[in-house]
Amino acid sequence: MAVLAAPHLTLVSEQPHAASLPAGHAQVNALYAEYGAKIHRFLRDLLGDPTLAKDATQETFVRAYTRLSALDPTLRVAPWLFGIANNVSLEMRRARSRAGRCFVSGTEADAPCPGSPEKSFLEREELSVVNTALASLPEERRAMLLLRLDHGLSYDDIAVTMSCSLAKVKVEIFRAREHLRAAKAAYEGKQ
Amino acid sequence: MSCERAIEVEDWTLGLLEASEAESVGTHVLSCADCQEAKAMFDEERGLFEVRAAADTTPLPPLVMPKPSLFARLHAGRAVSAIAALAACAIAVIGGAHAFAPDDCAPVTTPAMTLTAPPSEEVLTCKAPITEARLFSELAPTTPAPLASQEPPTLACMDRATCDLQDDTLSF
Repeated sequence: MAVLAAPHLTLVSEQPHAASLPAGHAQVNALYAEYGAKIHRFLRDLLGDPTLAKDATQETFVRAYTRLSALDPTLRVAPWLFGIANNVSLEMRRARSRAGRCFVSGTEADAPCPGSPEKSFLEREELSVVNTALASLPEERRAMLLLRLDHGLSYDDIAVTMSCSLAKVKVEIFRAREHLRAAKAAYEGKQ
Repeated sequence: MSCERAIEVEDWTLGLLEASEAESVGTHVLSCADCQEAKAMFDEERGLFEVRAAADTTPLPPLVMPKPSLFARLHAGRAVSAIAALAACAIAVIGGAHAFAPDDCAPVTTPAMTLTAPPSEEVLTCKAPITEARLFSELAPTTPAPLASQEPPTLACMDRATCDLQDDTLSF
């Protein structure tokens, strides 16, 4: 198979010009170990459903496996993987809208926070505000903001991942950050 | 926050810049109040997401990859589907080209109708030109002639060899 017959393939990791991985399953497993949690979090934020996000994560890495041979070795892996994840998320959202299932707003705000109970409470409050603000953003804008602030991608990489222009990325992220700041200011004003 | 290098500062914070660029931006940040403000704001926002990521303790299940044989079958299936789709497209294009040829869009000229009789029979043709007067005269109702004046029909014997009737004509 073409994918397995590429042992020389070098993947550029988050650290540029780094990891050289063996072919096939081993490569994908290494990618999963490095990016699995990030991709899962990204998909959970986009889909709003932890269970669906797990399926989408699996699907993302299976697709990554089938497309390893087509990967340009000079490209960074993170934008490539997030691009696949974004496509998987789009397909799942379309399928879900066809099936008529409702969107489960917010993510796992009830996850336990380490630290003192007071700190934990405040963090959970703050996280809840962030999650609510995120959930109220349009999907594309939310994805761009997450890629920038949560996953630390450059504007150029986000443009590649989302298949849109750099100017659009800048505008969308600017607006999303304004929205986030307004939500945070409103929360802090209440306190 | 009006400095043009604000995005560069963010990239610098994220560690996305090359060493030479990073040094340049680092020097710039020290002297630019706008960029210092932009960096502080970005750090604050990013801090929120870092807390959020740290709070994410969802255990990720191990990656379950389908067996290579399944991929082989999938690829084979896709190849067959692609060939079938290609063939269908080719048929559609050829068939479509035939069905929707530009000539077909031209007004259809129907061939002149000719009445041809079977070869054994005499062809009925009217040599005289059809004029309006003739047409009306032929279509006008005619009064039937009385029975007595009518010529009796003649029957011809078709099988002269076996027929007992020797006369060619039977009269009634």
